Amino acid sequence: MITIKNLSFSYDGVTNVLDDFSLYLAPGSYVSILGHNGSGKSTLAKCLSGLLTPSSGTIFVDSILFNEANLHQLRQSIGIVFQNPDNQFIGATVRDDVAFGLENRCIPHEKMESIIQAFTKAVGMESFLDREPSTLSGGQKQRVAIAGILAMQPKVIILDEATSMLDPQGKLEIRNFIQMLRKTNPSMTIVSITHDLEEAEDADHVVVLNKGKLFKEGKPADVFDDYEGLTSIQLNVPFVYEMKHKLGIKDKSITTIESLGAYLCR
Amino acid sequence: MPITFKDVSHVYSAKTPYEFKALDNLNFSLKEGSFTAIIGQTGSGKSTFIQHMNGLLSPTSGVVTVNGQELLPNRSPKKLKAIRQYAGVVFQFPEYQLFEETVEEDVMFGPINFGKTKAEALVIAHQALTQVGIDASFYKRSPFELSGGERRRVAIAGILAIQPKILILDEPTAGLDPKGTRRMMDLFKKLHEEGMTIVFVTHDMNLMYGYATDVVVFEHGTIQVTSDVETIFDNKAMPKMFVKPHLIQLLEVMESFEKPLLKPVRSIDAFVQVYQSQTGEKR
Repeated sequence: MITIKNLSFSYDGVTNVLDDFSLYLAPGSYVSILGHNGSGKSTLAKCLSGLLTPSSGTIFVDSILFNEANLHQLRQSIGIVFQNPDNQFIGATVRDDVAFGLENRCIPHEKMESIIQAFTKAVGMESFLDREPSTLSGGQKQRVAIAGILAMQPKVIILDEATSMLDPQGKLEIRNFIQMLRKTNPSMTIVSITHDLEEAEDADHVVVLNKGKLFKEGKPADVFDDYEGLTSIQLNVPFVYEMKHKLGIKDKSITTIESLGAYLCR
Repeated sequence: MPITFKDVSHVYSAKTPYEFKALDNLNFSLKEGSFTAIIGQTGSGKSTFIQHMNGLLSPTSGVVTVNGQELLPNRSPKKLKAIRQYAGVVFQFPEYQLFEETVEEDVMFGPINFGKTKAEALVIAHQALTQVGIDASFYKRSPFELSGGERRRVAIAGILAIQPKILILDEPTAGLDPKGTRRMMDLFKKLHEEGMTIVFVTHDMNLMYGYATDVVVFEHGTIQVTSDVETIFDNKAMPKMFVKPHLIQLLEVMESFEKPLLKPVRSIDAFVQVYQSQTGEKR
């Protein structure tokens, strides 16, 4: 779905925030991108959504080369949800906010209401349709933003630390929602940039960035078994993997608290 | 009791279409010397609650007592300054509130406001910066040259410099990476051990379990549960939506195999130690 080749980006022309970065994302995959603050994660998301133009390198989306001429077309297929809910609320009410994107896509008015209902329900905001943004909490606003992007049915959705300002219940709802989305919409590619290790465990594929370079990629279990590598670049591993490391357990099949508990009681 | 709430309600935009009851007939006493975690969903009233703790908000009904001073509805509180000095509040993302030209001037701002001379304030500022782990090489630098985590430490030093008896923090680790989070929480643990009462808002059950002594659970503008941290998840009134800390989940799995850990633990390292001595297993 997305092929990134030798991508570099620099804000100041001196330091490369992304440094010769290459990556392939399969259609319909769910990929988590991890890295500490300043590793280049968010810059990558901005390059993917066309908000920043790379200094060098290429990005192909659906085999189409990303460039200024087809930027508009590509933006139709990529939706991005940012970290701060206050910066992406446009409408005067929840309903208007979700409708905004649909209006831009020229969806007929009579179809809009049912789409708005469906996607606000999916994020648990269906009873807030007439509320003003200032009366919503940060987490609630973020759920509306996610509904607004999903309502446009993009091929790729990028979540740029989109759950980091949500409370555990909000995070869990979004995690469950992503699982449901994968079932109902198996061809959608989901890219999640996150600090939340448990959220990353849900993905098919984990990509670790450090200083703008690819540090490690693979299945969650393979990446997180490298405790020393990840902690050396200021990252943590999920609870189960930290336990395994500290107890000296090498068994690759242990990836959950249940299996760890069973192993410890064998 | 250092801070008490009696039948406190707080209604925003009363008698307008946007009327919202953020606190609903709430009663609470803060334990002196505790390390109290406040948990609850977004919109459950946590932030409104802590803004009553140092008089930034007054109740719309009921009474809040802070160190003997009463905060009452529709009355501007007397001796507000004393309340502010008694209970220092650190808001979310406090690093955005830095404004002076150098780190030390920023931290001196509070004590000078509370009547210290410049010389006294400088000494206090240096002490506070040392407490948060910011060394002398930073004193003359602009706060804006520092990293996010360092800036947050400077902002917290600014509150410590007014020498409060109670430190109240609204999601102090929000946005920090895992290492930054651990360092920040270890700082509060140290302050607590030195005798300060600490109140912190968190969404992270693992941090709550690892650091707090007491827990207050908010739901719909009211306190659902108050408990010591050890028994909080045994409490029947604890809402199910709070996912248990990883350690508790693991201990429960082991109990289900009838091989429980023999000593209570609240950290991974403690678990490893107890487990290995219990099973005689060495790495």
